[in-house]
Amino acid sequence: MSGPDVALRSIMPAFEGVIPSSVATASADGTPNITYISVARFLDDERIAISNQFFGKTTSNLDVNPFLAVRVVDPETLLEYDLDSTRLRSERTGELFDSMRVQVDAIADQTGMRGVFRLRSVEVLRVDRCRLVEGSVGRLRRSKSGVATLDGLSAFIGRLDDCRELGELTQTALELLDDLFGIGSSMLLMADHDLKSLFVVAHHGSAGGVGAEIAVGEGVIGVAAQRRRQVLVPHVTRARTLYRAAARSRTEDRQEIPLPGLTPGGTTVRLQIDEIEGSSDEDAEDTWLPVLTALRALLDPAPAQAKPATGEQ
Amino acid sequence: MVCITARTGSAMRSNLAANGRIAVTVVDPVTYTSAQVKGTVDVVRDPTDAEFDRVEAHMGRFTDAVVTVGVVDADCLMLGDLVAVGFMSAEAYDQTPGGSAGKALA
Repeated sequence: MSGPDVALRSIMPAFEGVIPSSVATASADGTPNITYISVARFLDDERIAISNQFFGKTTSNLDVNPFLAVRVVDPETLLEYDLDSTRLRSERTGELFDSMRVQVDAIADQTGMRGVFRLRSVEVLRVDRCRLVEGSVGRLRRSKSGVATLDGLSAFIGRLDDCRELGELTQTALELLDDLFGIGSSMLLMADHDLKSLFVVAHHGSAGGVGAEIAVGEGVIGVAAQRRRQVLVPHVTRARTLYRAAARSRTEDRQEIPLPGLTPGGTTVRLQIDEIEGSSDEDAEDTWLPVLTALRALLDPAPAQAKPATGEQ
Repeated sequence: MVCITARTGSAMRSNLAANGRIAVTVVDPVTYTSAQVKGTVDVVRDPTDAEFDRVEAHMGRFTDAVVTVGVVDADCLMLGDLVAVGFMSAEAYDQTPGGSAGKALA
């Protein structure tokens, strides 16, 4: 038997998509089927959602047998967990579907697979039991992670207060993301007046270059800007590999849009600021509110809900 | 014949004994080329020395390969009690993500 029950909330890194999750279903006669999925998202203490992009057999199995097992892996500890689950429903519209679709679409666009690699549905599952896989030992050493503390956030805000001009403010902010939170590469983009392009106005580490232009609607950044949603690409190399595997079956020419400054194997969180309305000291707080909101989302172990509003993260 | 980690008394062992049906998915972690084989279990036994050697060699290749896609220490994903499972393959499917996923392989 596997070990004792584990709280879903305690294994949040396992839902970041760094290591693929697998789904096992069974047909009416008990024949098993296993597949890997792009996204397994934590919803609450009892529910998760999984993306359905190419589930032929999985879907038909669930239609006759709603019980399934999802195996997730914590990328930090490499511990494995089995989630004995029941399908509650399949969603093809709505907020949850849209927020997962934009993530799939953004990566698909990045790899020239728009319209091919699309989200068909989101399967909402009730997790009846979550257990550590017996024999799963994990790695002995922990991977390096950012220092996410309220002290860090306080220091971040305090240092921004000392800035006296926009250029200093933006550059300082990105450097502090590195110093305080371990986000080594970052860039800040602003939209032009007709909202057709984004321009890099500050960058840090290996990301971007000031003046670089990205068309709204193209690539991960452009799609996120167009949809006004947060997009997380947990593992750039894996995402590219996954979508290129699908691309091999395509015959038409594809144009890959470069992802500025992303490091293979890295994780990307895109922070979008739609508009900066002023650069004076008085405006600084309002200007950076979206950044602070995004940082809070990073510090919060619960996933941020994407909200289509001006100035969202 | 495949070698998998499945401790005595584990859910995996119970499932193997339940109805004899098995599905095995294999994935190249670098290219994502994937396939799934389904069949009926013939035998479940301890691995031979030669099979242990092959598993060890495979673990080394796998661990080295996944480093290129950013995963380190992957050998710990394959630790545990090994069991050898023999089965007759009845169906095989392409499972590489994309339009061909789910198509039967000859």
